[in-house]
Amino acid sequence: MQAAAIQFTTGVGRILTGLVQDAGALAIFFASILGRLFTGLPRRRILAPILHEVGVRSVPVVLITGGFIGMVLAVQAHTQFKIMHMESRLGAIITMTLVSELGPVLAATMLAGRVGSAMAAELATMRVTEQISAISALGSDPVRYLVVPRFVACVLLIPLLTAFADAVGIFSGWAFSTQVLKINSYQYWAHAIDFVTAWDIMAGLMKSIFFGSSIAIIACHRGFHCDSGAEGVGRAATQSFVLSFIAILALDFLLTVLLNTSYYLIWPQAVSL
Amino acid sequence: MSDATLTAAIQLEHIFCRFRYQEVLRDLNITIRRAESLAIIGESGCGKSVTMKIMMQLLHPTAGGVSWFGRDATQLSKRDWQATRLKFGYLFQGAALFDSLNIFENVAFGLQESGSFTDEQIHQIVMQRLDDVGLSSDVAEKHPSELSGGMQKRVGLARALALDPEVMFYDEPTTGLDPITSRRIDDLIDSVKHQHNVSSIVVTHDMRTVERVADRVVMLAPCHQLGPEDPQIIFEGSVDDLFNTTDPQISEFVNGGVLKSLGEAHTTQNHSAA
Repeated sequence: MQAAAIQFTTGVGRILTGLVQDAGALAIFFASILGRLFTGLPRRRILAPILHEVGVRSVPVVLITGGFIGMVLAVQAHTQFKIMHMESRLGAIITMTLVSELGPVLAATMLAGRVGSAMAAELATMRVTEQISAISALGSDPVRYLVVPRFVACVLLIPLLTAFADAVGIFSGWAFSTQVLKINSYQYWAHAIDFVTAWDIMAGLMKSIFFGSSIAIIACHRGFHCDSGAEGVGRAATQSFVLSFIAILALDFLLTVLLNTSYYLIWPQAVSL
Repeated sequence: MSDATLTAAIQLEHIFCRFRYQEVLRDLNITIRRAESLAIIGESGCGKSVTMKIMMQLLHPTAGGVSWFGRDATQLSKRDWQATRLKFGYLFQGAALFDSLNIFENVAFGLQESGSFTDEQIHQIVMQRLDDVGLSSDVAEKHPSELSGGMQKRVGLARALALDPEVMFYDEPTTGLDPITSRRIDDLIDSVKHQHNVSSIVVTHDMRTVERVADRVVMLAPCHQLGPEDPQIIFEGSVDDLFNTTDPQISEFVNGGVLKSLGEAHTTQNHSAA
């Protein structure tokens, strides 16, 4: 009994130590990126192809994600709102849900899969084939050359892609609501504009900046510190997605609490939902 | 400052290296003189490549000192450290060419990153280096995946030579190559040494390479095979001394390597005849 208790405590201790070490390693990695970012921006020759890869090539994924979320929200909300005879307010719930919550989270999740995993796999392959060491050997800084441009691309473009997903979702929700569910188009937009404030849009985009940076930091860190061989590359890509997803959910919760608290501190007279 | 330090390109002093619980290097002392060729040999896992990476500070030892041209590498300012590092060239075991760049961009990488050359100068140097390693300008637009292993090694060598290094590191330069290509790579290493007057450090299993390119040889033993007080360097001397040694452990390794090389050469000759 005592031996089992010791074993359990040791196991828990080991997991906690591992978590603290990983968090510390990520924090150090993030600090090293920031340090380099403040001493020089990446060159256009290096940044342009990464912006293309992260931004332009993610558009179809984001378009599909946003489009389907908007339509699903219309279907789900319509069923509930119809009972209360509030179908005309579909525009409000679709727009609000998309800009403040589902748009940023689902776009970031899709991008963690498409962009983050690809980054982790690419950097991990470069590590196991000694290409990262070769960059050092040629007098260049691998973090500055490989990580900083990816970080910049994610921080700049993931909010833009999120805005794109939001817009596509709102329009697909509108199209489904008006064409299939026969909701009045004027009422859809009127309620959407009435209910959603600039703060909601800004809060959603702010979340996506944090999601974008966490995807870049986790993906690049996993790629840079992968184990050897093909197995190590595969594990880096998987770990990158899983950790990014957890980070997105945790950050979403923390930022929602923080932003809501800030909102009621700034506008104490606002009516709470 | 001792004479050895003054004439040394690189000096390792009391180097210890450990990865988690695995001891890799134990109290290693190696000096590479200017314009000298040193071969580091030993069984797989004895720490040859780690030694070379520590020499170039691609890895940091657990304890011990590394000197570059008589100066402690860890005490150099960032600018001096980077300037000195550019005097080193490194040919990786698998060439380590950048997949996403073509051959021209691979060879030009160090020149572009240094920011000290115009586009015209870079073009001229890249073409000259490709020519030096026996590659035509036709390969410049190709990607690494379109080249054979031997050609990739040559591109890796051209890339390492682009910045006119004073010290060249070769990590298993002939591993995985047929004897004819191995011979060409050995000749290149030798011609680089004589044309550019560089110090060469060659990590290899191939005794023919040792015979062709080395002035001096250091043989390491894996730490797990050593007693608590045993030194890790089990041989240090000239190539002739290595091949004439009476130590059974060294002799077995050396003769095994020579026989393997001869066997590969024989097989290739048979294939050529067929």
